[in-house]
Amino acid sequence: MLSRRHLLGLGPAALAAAALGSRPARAASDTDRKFLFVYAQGGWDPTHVFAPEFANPNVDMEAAASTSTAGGLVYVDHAYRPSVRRFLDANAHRTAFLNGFEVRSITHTRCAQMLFTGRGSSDGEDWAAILASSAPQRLAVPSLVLSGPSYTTTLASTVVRSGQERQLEDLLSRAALTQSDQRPSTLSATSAASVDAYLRDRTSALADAGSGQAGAYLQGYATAQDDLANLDALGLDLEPPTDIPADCAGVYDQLAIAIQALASGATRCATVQYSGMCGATFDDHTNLDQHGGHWEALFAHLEWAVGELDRTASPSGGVLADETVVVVISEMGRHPQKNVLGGKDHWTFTSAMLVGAGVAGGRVVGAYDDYFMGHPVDLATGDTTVSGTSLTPAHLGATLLALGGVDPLDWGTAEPIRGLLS
Amino acid sequence: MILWAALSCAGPVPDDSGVEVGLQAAEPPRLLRRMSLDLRGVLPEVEELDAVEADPGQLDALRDAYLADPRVEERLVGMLGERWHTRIDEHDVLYYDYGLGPDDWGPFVAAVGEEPLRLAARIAVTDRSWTEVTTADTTMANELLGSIWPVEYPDGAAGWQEVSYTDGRPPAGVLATNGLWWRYNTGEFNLSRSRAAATVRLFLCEDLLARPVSFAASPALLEQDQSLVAVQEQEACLACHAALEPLAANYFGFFPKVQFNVRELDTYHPEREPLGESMLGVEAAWFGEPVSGLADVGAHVSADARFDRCAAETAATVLWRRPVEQSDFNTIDDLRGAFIDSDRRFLALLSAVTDTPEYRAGAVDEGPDLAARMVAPEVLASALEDVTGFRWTQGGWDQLGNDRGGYRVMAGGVDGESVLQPQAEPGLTWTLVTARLAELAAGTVVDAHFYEGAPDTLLTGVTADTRPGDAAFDDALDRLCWRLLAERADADRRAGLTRLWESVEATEGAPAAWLAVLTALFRDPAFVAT
Repeated sequence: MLSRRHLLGLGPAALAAAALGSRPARAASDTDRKFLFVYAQGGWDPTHVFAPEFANPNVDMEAAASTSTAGGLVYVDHAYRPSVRRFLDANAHRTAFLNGFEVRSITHTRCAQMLFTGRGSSDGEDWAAILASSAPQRLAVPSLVLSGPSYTTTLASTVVRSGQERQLEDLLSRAALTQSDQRPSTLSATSAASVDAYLRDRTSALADAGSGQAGAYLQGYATAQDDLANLDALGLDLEPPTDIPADCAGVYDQLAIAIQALASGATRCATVQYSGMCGATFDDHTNLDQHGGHWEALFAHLEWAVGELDRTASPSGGVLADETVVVVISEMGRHPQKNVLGGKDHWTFTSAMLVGAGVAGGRVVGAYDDYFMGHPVDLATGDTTVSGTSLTPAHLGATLLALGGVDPLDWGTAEPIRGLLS
Repeated sequence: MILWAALSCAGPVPDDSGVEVGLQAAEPPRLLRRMSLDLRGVLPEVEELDAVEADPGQLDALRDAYLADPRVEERLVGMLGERWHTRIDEHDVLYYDYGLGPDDWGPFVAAVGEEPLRLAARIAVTDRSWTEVTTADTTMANELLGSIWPVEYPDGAAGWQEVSYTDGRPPAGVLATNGLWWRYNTGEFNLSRSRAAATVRLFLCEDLLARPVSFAASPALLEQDQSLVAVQEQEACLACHAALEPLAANYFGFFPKVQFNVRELDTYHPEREPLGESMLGVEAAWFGEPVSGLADVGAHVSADARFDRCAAETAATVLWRRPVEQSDFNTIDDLRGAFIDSDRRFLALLSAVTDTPEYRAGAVDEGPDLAARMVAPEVLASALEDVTGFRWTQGGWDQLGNDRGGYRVMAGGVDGESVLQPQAEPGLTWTLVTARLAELAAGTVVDAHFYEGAPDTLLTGVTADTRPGDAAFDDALDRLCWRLLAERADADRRAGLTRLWESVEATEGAPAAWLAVLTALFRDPAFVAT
């Protein structure tokens, strides 16, 4: 396992050059693979897209929905959700569904923690941080969180949050210095650079002299100073382009920034939270009809984002889509039956969708049984079998790590679902 | 003296039997600095540093004086906030629901989250038993909460006051505060189970929600109306729900009919108390013992054998700046004993934690202990405010205390929702936030000293004509290193800072040069860690 600290010997220039990727186009390897996490917050109802359980008398399906197919994918189609159909028609060949994995909690915060780390305790590292920390070269912004949760302990320094109001941009541009009730004198850009240089020199010397945990702190400090310097060299653009679709929750902006970061070579993983139309959240126990709109808007965003990945050059010379996995997840599912208010309550079994590089396209792995619980799966083939393994977020996470060239066992998680890999 | 040396040169810490345990004690001045920041949120005074440098035996006396300092109360709010997670950025009720203006947004959010923390802190600093945390018949309110909540806030008073609710809620300490239950909210499907789980996590340190919940063994859950039966009969569910449901039944005086209504949420409803048993279909109980309401729950919580151990874990976690591990079992047991011996005084417990080798460690050869601990954002803010007068606020928001537009998590803090542990190692955003904060604080000093004629600043004795080679210049650097870092400046340190000063002064003048030096010191790895 390669950690950032192993690469401390690399100087900023070498790192910047490597990250900028002045290499000719070549086939992307697992370790080049990038990840865009799109987290549908609130707990979605898989029967709106991934689980066409029309024949299951225990499951309440939408009256006007029907079963459709795209490539090898069988899904729930609805006249009010044209974006779902368009997205799957265009991308089924590189899209897989994972059905019937169990999150093993029904509280949102704990489910999200389980989904992102595979663990119920609060000492886990999320998949994005693990993948980002395992990149073959040290990255200035290893895991960029535009919105949504991030769970880390020892890998906390791997995560770079942009902030709800894009505070990262203000910090980098020094505009933050003017966002204060007190407005004292500040440094000129030249003087600020002198201070940065002084601190880099001092902490590098101290870190070289240190060892053990105190040394780790100093090395982490020195690394962070270097990352900041590298970021300037990379010219990471945190301003979204103006010619993109608009939405009331700013999700297009965040997706655009995420893609810019992936394209810059500074970032391996980016996370964007989608909280339903205008942030109205999937967690609605009373109005299932609203879920249809959330799904339509979600797939409209995905359609645009995957198109952008197709159009955007990657640091290795191809396009980002060739080396990026889009991971579409939600922290829990919804109960198969409507409650007395016409909504659906929390359910531990749910689905996920993977799109892009390394994914076995046109494949549905896993299934729901008569009780809308997950069928066991043969991890090697992805086929459902009674002798198989009951799937959890740990299996999903292990699969992502495998896609990223990381041995899941190094992180104490489950076996990957190889049937999801191309 | 370089930081590494400061962290490692004071020798191994002996355990109770005098055996060295592999932890290297920090140098006394650095350890005093750690104690002062942890317990008061400010740097030690120069005279205090001088005293422990001359006589390390002064450490304990100074620590005891710090524990008697009024600023301990504010620090306790911060420490407990890291554990109880009540300081979130948004509640179901917003400031405008009360007719408050945008300028009150930040203060309103902060006050709600701090209410239970401040009650616990007040109990601790007034030398009352920690058991009152779940039994007190009072709460804390400031002017803002006093003007909008059903509390008896004294006329003409200012700031946080210990007051009583007027809505008939039972005496249950923080278990009867709005602030706690606005954070751990509930609804018509959760039926207060989240509040029961929060009670167990906060005061017994047992996280029921961390236990896996599998529906796979419970087909009965498929039937919507069978869920309540299943959680009371299915073995897989009972492991948690046998305790959760009877406990949850005690919180229905706080149960809202509408989740986003001011009066529903801020006022206790005694008439709804019986709803718990009927809606959950159980008799109210505390882990099998029947109870007669929330006040009885509070008494059972503080009488539970796990309560004392949890208090010890809480104190150790916040002062060690790391989670308690299994290998800490015996140490935690000792702390629990010291806590009980002190008649459950939380300040005595904090004092005992500062005596542990884990706290006093300055370097570690192996194991999970952290020798260099990053300073929490709020401590960084208060320490800088104390020595510079600068506090980063904007529009009523404490920028190191929120994430809506501020930098709390980016600076390594806890948001109470998705970031539940403080960051242990520096990262990019932490570097950026500390850099900008340091610059603003340094600018405040320079403006006061050079342009406003303030008589007593960190730069006292320095003029616009002071130059390297002048005794006053070297004195200033020495004084700054001692005051800010608790380190004596060595030749390397002096030379580096002098070069920085000269490079800036050459083009921008002396004030800018001192601004650069102060910024560098406020960002120094020895300043932002203890």
